[in-house]
Order: sequence, then C-alpha cells, then structure tokens
Amino acid sequence: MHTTELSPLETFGETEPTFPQTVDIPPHENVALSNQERSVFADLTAELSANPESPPRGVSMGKSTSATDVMTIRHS
Amino acid sequence: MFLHISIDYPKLSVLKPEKLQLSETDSYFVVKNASKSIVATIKKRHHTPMTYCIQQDEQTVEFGYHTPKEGLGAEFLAITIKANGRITVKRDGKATLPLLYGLANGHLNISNQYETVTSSINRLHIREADIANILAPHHSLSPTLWNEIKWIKEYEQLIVADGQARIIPAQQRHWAINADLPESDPKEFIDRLDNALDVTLQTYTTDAPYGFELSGGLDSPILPLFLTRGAPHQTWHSNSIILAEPYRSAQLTKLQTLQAIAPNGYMHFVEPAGIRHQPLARIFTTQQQPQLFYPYSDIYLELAEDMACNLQAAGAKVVFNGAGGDDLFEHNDSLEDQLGIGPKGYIARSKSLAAFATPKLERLLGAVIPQKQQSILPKRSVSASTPCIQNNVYIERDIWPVSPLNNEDLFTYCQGLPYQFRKQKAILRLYYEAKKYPTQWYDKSLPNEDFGDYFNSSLLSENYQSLFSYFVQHSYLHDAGYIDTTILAELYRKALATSANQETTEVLFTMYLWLCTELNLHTAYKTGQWQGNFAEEYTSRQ
Repeated sequence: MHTTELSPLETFGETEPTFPQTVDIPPHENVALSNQERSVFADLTAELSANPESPPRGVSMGKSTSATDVMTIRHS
Repeated sequence: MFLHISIDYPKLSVLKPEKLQLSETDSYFVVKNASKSIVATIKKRHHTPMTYCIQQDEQTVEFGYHTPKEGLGAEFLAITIKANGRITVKRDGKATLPLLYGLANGHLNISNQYETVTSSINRLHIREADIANILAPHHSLSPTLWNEIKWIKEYEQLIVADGQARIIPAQQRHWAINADLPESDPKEFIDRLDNALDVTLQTYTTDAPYGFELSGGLDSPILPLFLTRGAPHQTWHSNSIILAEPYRSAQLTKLQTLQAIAPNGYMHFVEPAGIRHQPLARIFTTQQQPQLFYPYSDIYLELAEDMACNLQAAGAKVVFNGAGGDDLFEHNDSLEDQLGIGPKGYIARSKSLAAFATPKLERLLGAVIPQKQQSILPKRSVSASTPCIQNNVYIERDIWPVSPLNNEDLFTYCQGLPYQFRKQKAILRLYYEAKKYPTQWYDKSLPNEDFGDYFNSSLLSENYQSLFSYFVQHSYLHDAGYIDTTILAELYRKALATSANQETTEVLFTMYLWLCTELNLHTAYKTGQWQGNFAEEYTSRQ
C-alpha cells in the first residue's frame, strides 16, 4: 500500500502554498442594490418567517438536474 | 493535456541529483532533468486563474495556477518539485482541476486526465471494497476502481518522496451541516448573494471573454440575470441543453427572456432517440479501442463536449455555471447521514445497493462502511460529491469553469437558514421576485429541466440493449459472485416493458454503474493491465 493518511497534526514541510506574486483585485464595480429591492426582499422574507416549518428528519433535499453537474449519485 | 508529471524514482540518483531544467514552448512550461527521470508539463494559461512556473534554483521548481487574490475562495494549485524527486502538491477548496496520481513500482504519474494516469501503470489491482463503493455509491466516496490510483481532493496535500506517497487530509471541515450552524438572518441573503456574484465577475471577467452554461433551472441563470441590469452584453455566449417535452417548452420560455439581452445563445437540442448525445455515445459511435474512464463522471460528457467546443470557437476563457446551487439549500441534520457512516449510513446505502447484488456483495458493503468518521471530509454534499473530471472538457480548451455559488461563505450562511427558506430554494425565488426578474424563472408551475427522463430513454435505447445483452453474457462481476446477471437481465426486461417510473430510474442508474464498471474491467483485461481477479488483500484499507 503506497498511501498513508496522516493525522491532521502531522506536518510535512511548509504548509502554506507559495505563489510568484499576488495582486489585489480592483474594487467592486457593484451593480447597485437599490433600497427598493432590499425593502421588497425584507417584506417577502418576513412573510415566510411568519410561517415556520419543521424539517423532516434525516432527509436530504438536494437534487441535481444540471447537464453539467456530474452528480451522478443523485442523478435521478 | 493541462498537467502531467512523471517521476521514475528508481532512475533518480540519490547521491547526486541531476539539475532541473525549465524550458518553455508556445503552449507549455516544461521541467525535466537530463535523464528525463523527472518530466513535468503544465499548459500556459494567460487568463484567471493563470498558470506559472518558476525555477528557484537548480534543485527546485515551483509551478501551478492561482487566482489574483489569496484568501477564502481563492483558487490555487501549488506544486514544488525538487531535483531529488520530492514533490509537494497543495490545492484549494474548489479543486476545479481534476487531479489524480498513480504510483506503482516507483513510478509516479500525476495528471488531470484519468486515462493518462491509468495508462501509465502496467498492473492494476482492484480493491474489493470499491466494488461495493461503486455499486452502492455514496457521495462522500470517490473510488477510482483501481487500487494504484487516487484522487487529490479539496484541501488535500500530496507529498511524494523516495517513491513513497502520503496524503495529508484537510485540516478542518469547511462544509458544515445544518445542525452545527447558528441560525442565519434571511434578510441578509440579497446582499450576500449580490456580493458573491460581484466578486465572481471581478475575479474572472476583467481579462477574459466569457460564456455561460444556462439551463432552465434556478441556479445557472443567476449571473446572466444579474448582468441584465447593466448594458446589453453582445459578447455573451450561452449554451443550453434543451430536453424533449415536457421540459422543452418551459426551457424555451425561460431562455427567450434573455435572448434580447444576450443574443449569442446556442441551444443543443437532445432527442430521446438521438444517439449522439447519449451517455457513453463514444462507445457506440467510435471504432477506437475503448479507454479506461472514471465510472462516475461521464454521464453527460458528450453534451459537455459540444458546449465546450462552441464556447472555444467563441473565444471564451471562462464559463459560468450553477454548480453548487443544490448544496446551498441541502438539508442534512446529522454527520452520519451526510457521510454515509455508521448504522444510518448502512441503512441508506444498502437500500441503494443494486437489486441484482448477491449476498456476498451485501456482506461486503456492511464490512466497508466505517462506523465513525475516518478523516475530515471537506466535501460538499451534493454537486462536489465526485471529483469534477468533466471540467477537463473545458480546461483542455483553455476555458475555466466557475460557479458563483461554489462559495464557502455563502454555503455556511445558507445552511444556517431556517428550513422553510431552504425548502425548494424558497429564498432564491424571493430573491428573483425582489429583483423583478422575469417570473418564468421562478414560477413553480413551470417544470425545471430533469435529465432523469433523458437518461432513462437512453438506457432503454437499442444501443444500450446491445451492450446489456453482451455484458450479461460476459460479466466479471457475475463470475466473481458480486452480482446475479439473471436477475439483472430480468430487471432490464421489466424496465423495457414498463414506462419509466421512480423504481425504474433507480434500477437503471445502478445498471449504468455496473455497465461502466464492466466496460472498464474488460478494457483493462484486454490491455493486459488487469489479470481478471479481485484481490482480497486490497479489501482492508478504507
């Protein structure tokens, strides 16, 4: 067997990746979020908050349907 | 090939290591020593994430790729090769580039291409455990079928020295389950998502033309819709897979809302009877000797290749998709459930075990399921559950796949949302509504595209019937006592005779996994790499 999984405490060599250089990306050109959008969203979430729902136990909701998402296990 | 490293340790001089030499071609950085016992190549990429290769001295070369800014969410691959053959590979939490290594008889191969690594090994062996892991899969696992070949996954480090390999697992768990997280404030969602979209655009689009994979779901249109708020983008290129009815009309209705703003959309229509895009179509349509392939990855490879070719012709260097969207709103309330371990894991996985499994395989599954967490698994629960080997079809064409939803901060926040906000992605629908995006995109009465029907019709097509017929007669897994092909053939006949339903879908999916396994076994036997036996000595390691 050629592979051994080590404990996370065990370290080998340097632990930080080394890059030739790093640069800061420029400040965001944020598509301005209007106050109206925020206000509408707050109202919508408040409405849903008022109707809490208990989750089913032990159930995963995820379902992949994308052609490019290769999640084959839950493909169906 | 994007990346390939080959080191032949028995040929390396330990006492006097040969110097490493860095050279360049138009497309590649090349690192090697005089005897070529060390050869490493990485493709040059001039757009984010850019590749680099630096010779520190005669004994050390560093290379890899990285996005412009370090920190959470940054992408990087950092490889250091020493003249004595010591190599360190470190990677990020996204692991966009598929990466495998194979080590046998002192010869190491690392590549993003599965075929490259498998073809480098003369003798392949199968772990019995992985037969169970493939036929009763769980998303926390990613067996390669072959004992000599392993993935280098998110946040892992690989260190190879003196012909011995070690994997250092992730140091902390990055993708928590609902029960572990404090409750999030739903009102923050709109700002958090907008910020994630903005950062993604700033990181990947400042220096490169880009395109989209655009389906009819809720996740993939997030970024295009976000961009519709600005000026029209004539340079967009989107690619969409259009399924047959009952999904086609809904998909077209949705996509038409973007056509006026992004006119360069290309639609790939798939038909149930069409062979070209069917899973494994390359097996049916080429006369070439089949190659080994990763059994979990290739369901829609043919479709992805078409989209990648289109985007390459359009000059795109980045493709945005919606991968990770399902993960954001997943509901997992126990680690056992998420990792498929312990008694709960056994119950869930034994249910998914193929109906044609024998008692021997059932016992094997019971033996391979761990009782407790073996190591930290940084993986997300849904779409990152298998290494994204399909990313290669883009990366090999110099197009980097990116999803704004593959975001650890956003994941943690969304997993803390109350259940009713995650159920059916309710909060995402509210986001669309608040943004006044076209209602077609979040209208629950329109069906989301579902590839299940297409998958079923493909597997019941004439081509597949021939494949099934052949491998039922020539099954290694049957001969070794893991499955019963008489039951399998009967189940397939039943699926052919009845219209597709939930039960049929599950059976067909496990049959597909069996078929992929047989195809790989037969190919490896023909090439002489596999001797036709299932070695029990490889069972013990988990």
